[in-house]
Amino acid sequence: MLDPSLHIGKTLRSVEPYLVSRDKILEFTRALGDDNPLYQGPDPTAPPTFAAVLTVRAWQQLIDDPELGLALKRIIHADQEFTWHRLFRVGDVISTVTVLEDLRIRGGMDYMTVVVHVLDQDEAEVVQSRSLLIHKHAEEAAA
Amino acid sequence: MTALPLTIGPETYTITRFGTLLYAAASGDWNPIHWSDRQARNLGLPGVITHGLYTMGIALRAVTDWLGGDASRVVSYKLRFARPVLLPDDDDGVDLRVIGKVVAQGETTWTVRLEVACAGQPVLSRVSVEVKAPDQD
Repeated sequence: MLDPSLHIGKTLRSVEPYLVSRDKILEFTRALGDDNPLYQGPDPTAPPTFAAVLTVRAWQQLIDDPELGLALKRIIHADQEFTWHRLFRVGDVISTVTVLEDLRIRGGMDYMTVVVHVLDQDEAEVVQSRSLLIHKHAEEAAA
Repeated sequence: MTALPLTIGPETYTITRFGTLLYAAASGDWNPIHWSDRQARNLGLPGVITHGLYTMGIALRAVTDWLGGDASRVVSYKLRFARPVLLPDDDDGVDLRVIGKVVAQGETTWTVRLEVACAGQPVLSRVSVEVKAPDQD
């Protein structure tokens, strides 16, 4: 269970680096249905919202933490903000630092502000992701 | 370069269940509310909804196309997921309609406000995109 007095400020660093590949960029671009030439060809740049891939991986780390008691199927995404320093490129070796910046519990729901710092091989920030996630407690959702 | 117009769109993009599955695979977000009607109903939704991040990614295309494809000029992108985008189990999907306008022209960045709607109802709200100002190039 989440507890503001224990978990605000909780910080998780990614364990395995994420390697940005051409095929993953093309897969992401195909899902978006965007034919921008920047995202195509042998050496594509990733669309800005490729940041979602790293954001989702970072959330998974929070969800996998048994201390927090979170379940993906009970999470609704309420707000999102991305701030870019540059776009992802093929060959980037990415790590993340995930911070539970704020937590309020109201009416059987956790309101979590999660910030993900997405860093490259030089520890320079590529993009910062800030999300408001609403997590329903188990007894509020049918099994 | 030629001056950028101060309005964007309307542009229309289609979201289908199939596209949503492609996005689940591409993004790694396998939340079952995006592929199981049963699991979506368990959470109080009428049925499968698309990923907010997918809607967000598709809507940004209106801005990057307006920038002539130069997506590296996007500085920040912020919004609220106002309403879920419900996906019928058919091949046609739903249309996302995007219009935008430049609401601030700073020296280094411009701010674009987007309206993103599905069937006449806003699905994203408070949508603000900051882009590098054109004269910076």
